[in-house]
Amino acid sequence: MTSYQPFQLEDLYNINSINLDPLTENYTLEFYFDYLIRWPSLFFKSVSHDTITGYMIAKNEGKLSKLEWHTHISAVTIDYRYRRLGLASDICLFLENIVNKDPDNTLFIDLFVRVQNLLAIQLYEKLGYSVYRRVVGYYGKTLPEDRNQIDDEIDGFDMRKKLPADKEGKTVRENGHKVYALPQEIVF
Amino acid sequence: MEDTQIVEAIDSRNYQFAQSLISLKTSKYPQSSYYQALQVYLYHHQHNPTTNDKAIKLLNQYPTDLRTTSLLSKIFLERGLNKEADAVYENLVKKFPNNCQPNLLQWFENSLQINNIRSLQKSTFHLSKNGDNKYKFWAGLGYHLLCQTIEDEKQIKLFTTLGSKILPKPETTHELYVSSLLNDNDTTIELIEEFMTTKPLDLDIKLVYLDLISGEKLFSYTEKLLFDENFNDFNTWKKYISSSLEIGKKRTEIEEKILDYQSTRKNAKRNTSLALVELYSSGDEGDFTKYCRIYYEKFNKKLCCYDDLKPYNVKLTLSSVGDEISVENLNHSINNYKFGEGDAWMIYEKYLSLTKDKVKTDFYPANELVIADIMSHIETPKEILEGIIKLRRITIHDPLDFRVQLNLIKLYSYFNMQDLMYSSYETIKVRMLQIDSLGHFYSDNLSYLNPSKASLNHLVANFRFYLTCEQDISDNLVKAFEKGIYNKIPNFIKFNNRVIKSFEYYNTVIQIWQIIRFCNDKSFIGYFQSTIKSIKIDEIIDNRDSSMSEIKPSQTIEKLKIEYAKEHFLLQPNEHNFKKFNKLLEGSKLSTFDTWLFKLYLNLFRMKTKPQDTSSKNYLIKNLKIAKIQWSDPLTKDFMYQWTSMIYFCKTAESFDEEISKISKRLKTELYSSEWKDQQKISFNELKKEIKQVMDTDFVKDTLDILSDSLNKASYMNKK
Repeated sequence: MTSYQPFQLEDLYNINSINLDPLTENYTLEFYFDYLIRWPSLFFKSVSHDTITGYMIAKNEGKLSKLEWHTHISAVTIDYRYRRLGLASDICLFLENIVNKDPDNTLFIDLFVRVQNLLAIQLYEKLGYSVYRRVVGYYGKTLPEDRNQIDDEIDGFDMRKKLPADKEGKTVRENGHKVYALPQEIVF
Repeated sequence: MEDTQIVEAIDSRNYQFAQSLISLKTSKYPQSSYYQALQVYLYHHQHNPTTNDKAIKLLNQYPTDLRTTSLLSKIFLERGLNKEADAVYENLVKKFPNNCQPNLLQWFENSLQINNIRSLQKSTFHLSKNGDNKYKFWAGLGYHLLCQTIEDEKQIKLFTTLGSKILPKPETTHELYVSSLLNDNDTTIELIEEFMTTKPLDLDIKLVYLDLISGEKLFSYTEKLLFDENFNDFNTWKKYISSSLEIGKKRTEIEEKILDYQSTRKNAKRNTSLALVELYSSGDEGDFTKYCRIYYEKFNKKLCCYDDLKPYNVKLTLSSVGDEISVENLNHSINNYKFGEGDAWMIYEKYLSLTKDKVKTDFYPANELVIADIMSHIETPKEILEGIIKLRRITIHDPLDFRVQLNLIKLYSYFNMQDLMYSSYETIKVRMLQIDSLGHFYSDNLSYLNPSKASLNHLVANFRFYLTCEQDISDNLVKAFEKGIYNKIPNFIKFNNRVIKSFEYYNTVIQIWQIIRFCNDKSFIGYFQSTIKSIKIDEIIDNRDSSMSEIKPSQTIEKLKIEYAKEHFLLQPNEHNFKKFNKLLEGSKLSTFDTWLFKLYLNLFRMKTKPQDTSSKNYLIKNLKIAKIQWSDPLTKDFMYQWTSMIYFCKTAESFDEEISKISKRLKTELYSSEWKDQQKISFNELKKEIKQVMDTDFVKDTLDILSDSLNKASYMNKK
């Protein structure tokens, strides 16, 4: 069972079993403060009998005039005991339900995922996300200069799901995995 | 010449140079209040007895210059004159009510920086008088925060009323949140309902509203959220059920609605299945058991099954697990085990082949069961050693499972195997705020168990985290006010309180100081000496996460306070600090060794404060002997703690009195004697023999060699 609650700063003391997961990033305090202050409604947690089972950190950015006003999922993570329940999907849908109307009303939601992370890609595809572009070297240590030098180890997919505000579907495209971009070009 | 040079000169105790600069400036700008404030600041640092008078004289001149008000209030605060610090600004409000907003903003920011809620309330209250709605909400929140710090019900009622009267009509959900904190329930409901007619509620206010309403209203709202707005939230289901029953609906009617919902929505199975359990948890027992059973059958192959049903205390007839070696059957076995059926190690071994196909970062779920089993059998050194071997075997399949590593640290720590503890600690990558809650796994008593340069560097790195943290919090508190994110501010303040009064912070500082003294390290001595002196412990908040292991940290709040009192006396040996140390010792519940050790310190300190009293000296002459020490088992960290504590004591006593110094030096030489090391080796070899009798494999042999090596490296003999 899952309930949703706004994330509070003190919750950072209660997510050790989530954040000690080797694949979950542990950010600086400044990072959490930034999201709590600038996008407070997009930072929330899922709870099961008072135990935090997962959380979502997202933000809104981009210009509407450039058709770039969107919600970006910065982190979504689930406690190892609550995985394979569809909780990550539920949390993503919960976010969608917030931003697909006023006051956010964004055009699409996007996120980055490793090209090799097939499980996650499948999950997002089931939720209606599709690849918008392949970001060459997104997870690499240095910024690449050649957009055609693809590498599954360090490349990421920029995946998007259009929201009702994008009535004509202009923010998504087919065959996005064939479109290559450099990380430095992903600026909103 | 920059004015900052003057402040720097004062702060670095270059008083003569600072005075010459101030004199130069004062003669050039005799009317400047700032140079007068700098003069007082210099007096304050020089402990000049006229400081207070001079500061109050300047206060009575109503300075408005921002640099002056900032410095003057800082001087008052550092001198413990909090009322006067506030008066710097309150005087201006009286004298220039329409012309002191920049000063009030400064007062407000300072109050956040020093976590002074009373000043925060006062400053925001005065700011609110300028008519800006933003400041009215600041003031309202200020009143609420003040109420959180007081216990007098009458005062709370008064401040809440005063706060609510300031507030204008809310226009954002955050403003609505402030209103909900100060208004009565009926007014809040009214405000929320009015707000809802034009704007959507955010999650915070939805939850506030759900908590305030009842009956028909709660039923309609929860029904709307669940059935129309896809708000599939279990607490809302609970409220839907309770309000349905409250307005007289039958359980069967509610059951039908939930089942209907379940059959039409894809992602609602877990919440609705448990909602049916919840529905009958206070109703018919037969239906309750039926839905618990259905829940169990649906989810017994998921790890959450037991935890979901646990609060309902249900007794189930468990279904048998299939023969196939699969993740689903493993999870089923784990759930059954938690419900009371099966054997932890049999489950672990049966499905172990699944670890071959799993990715490194996924954990083998059965680890949890065997860790609990291992940690429940660690009474004797032999059991602890066996526990280490078993846990290390688990790491072969799951090197990154933090539960295994954290418990390994605890078991290694029993023997003080420092390098292995550190290696496990590094594996789990404790970072940022985790230092505050999990840092103790490695740094618990580090200054006694491994007083070295490496430990010093580790602790200083942790200390830096606290410095950054302090700055981040105060900066972001101001930002949150500025941006009107009021529903986060009360928790920011609570968080701030937890960090600045954190056990781990105080413990880090004192351990750094102790290692500096032990190792005669000169690199940080000046800084930490003044830090230790300035720390006044009133309240300690223990943020250490003890949920990850059965073995709790050895350092206690009581002992930490005594350690501080001891160090305060050593830095400032006076009657006041002696009394404080003595008072903390009276009635304390310490170990036998610590009681004896601190009695040694008490007598040592009494020699300083009452030199004519010879009884203390006689006590020390009688007790400062190796035979008087009640040693623990040489294999244990307790032994290392006792050994280092005695070295610390001897080093301290050496500088007190000639005769005591001679005895201390002799004792220190005896403590470094080599025969002790052999004793440790012999004990461990005996233990190894015992283990080999029951666990004789190559893995065990190799592990024992690694452990012997670690024990050797951490030996007290190497601490010279």
